[in-house]
Amino acid sequence: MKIIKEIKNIFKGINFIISCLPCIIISIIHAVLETNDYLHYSANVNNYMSESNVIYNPHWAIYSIYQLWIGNDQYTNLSTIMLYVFPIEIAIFCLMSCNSKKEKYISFKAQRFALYDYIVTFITSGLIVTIPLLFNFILLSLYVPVVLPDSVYNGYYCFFAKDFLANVYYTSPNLYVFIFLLLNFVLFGLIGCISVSIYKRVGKCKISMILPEAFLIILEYTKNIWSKFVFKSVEISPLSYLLPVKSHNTNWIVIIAELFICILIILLIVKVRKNEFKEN
Amino acid sequence: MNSKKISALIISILFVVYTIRVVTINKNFPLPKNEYYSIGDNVPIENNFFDTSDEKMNGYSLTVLDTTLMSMDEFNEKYVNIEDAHNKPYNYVYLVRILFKNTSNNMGNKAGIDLMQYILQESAYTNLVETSYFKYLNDFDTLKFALRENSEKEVVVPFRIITMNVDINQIKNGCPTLVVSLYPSKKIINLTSNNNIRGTANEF
Repeated sequence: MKIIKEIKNIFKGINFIISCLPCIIISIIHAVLETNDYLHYSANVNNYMSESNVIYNPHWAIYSIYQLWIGNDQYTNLSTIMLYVFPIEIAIFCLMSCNSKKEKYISFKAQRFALYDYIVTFITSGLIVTIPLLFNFILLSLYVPVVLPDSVYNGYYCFFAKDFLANVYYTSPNLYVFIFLLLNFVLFGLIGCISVSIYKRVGKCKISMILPEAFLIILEYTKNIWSKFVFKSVEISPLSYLLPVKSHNTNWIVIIAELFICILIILLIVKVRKNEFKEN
Repeated sequence: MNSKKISALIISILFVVYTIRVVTINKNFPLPKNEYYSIGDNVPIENNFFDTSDEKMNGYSLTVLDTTLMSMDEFNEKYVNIEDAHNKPYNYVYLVRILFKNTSNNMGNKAGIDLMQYILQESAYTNLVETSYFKYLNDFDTLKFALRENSEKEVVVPFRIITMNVDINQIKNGCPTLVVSLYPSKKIINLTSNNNIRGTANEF
């Protein structure tokens, strides 16, 4: 109950709103651009249907919400920008919460509240990431119809049978979207926890908040080397596979392994910190 | 009224407005209608088409007689051994025997069947007709053909399954379908109710 109360307070606080704001702005811009595109396409279809004697297949399945939402954004780079901004947002949120006297939920020295801090960080970091994604989906659904993707048009989607979760996408697209929202929630939640655990160990906010982001970016830019020699073209960078559109070459083993590594890092730092407390 | 009640009221109103909007957007949307058939059913193509109404297949109908899934080796042995990059023992060929009928289309060569457009579909997997095998299975080699009015023709349509693109168990144990038109109705023939679709070759 205390955790729920604390999370409610965080929601009401200015730190959370400021942290969410950049990606919410990106998701609004994306929704506006895609809605414009969709309405333009829709008007064109209506025009050529009414003017010509020939009837055309309007290919509505290509312009479904599952294809146009920011997770499947193929044409603008807004989704990529968003994914790079997420860890920064989490870092800013944790940083502000560390330094703020009003919203100081991360107790630096209070060892007994450690688990409580991590749970609150996990949930809030996850929400900072999933809220803009969900918001984009909701905004688009106001204009774009929910059309089930059809694998007959898989050439347009660039999404084929052996790609990651392809069968789920073509049979239960809502579940597919939910899986990616959940993945984003869990992975960025853990990244937030890593930031906090480093902060609790090192005591320097800036370093602890920048480290996870730096690691993700390094992994993103060195992934080609890793993929070529170790992972045989499997997508290993979270900054890519957390977007459905870039996740086609990944697999569950990589994702679960990386989640496990994140948990391991947190546990390791917490254990080191505990030992230090005992020694003191 | 306290602030909690006001915010709850605002959220409820927003939710109702959102639901009405989403339902309105989706209610009258002109989606293609899916029509399902089985092996042995007579499937009239009517005014349906793949890309444009210029295809004019009205008056034609088809019946899937049976299907066969065979390994590449079986196919090579039984029909022809084409040396190409995908002629590997781990690949498969899926043969669909179809009876086409022209009952009332009198447009001659200006209309007809285009097998290039026919699609084998199994959830996320799709495949088009393998043109290079077609002539070895039929007594003619063009995938676009017209029939005289009130005539019929039996055709064997091959799909080459490259296992790099799909898990063969998905085809063997799944529910492969043949798509014979996309719009205004998507006509889908279920190909599973056939005993031969478990990897054994069938005599044509």
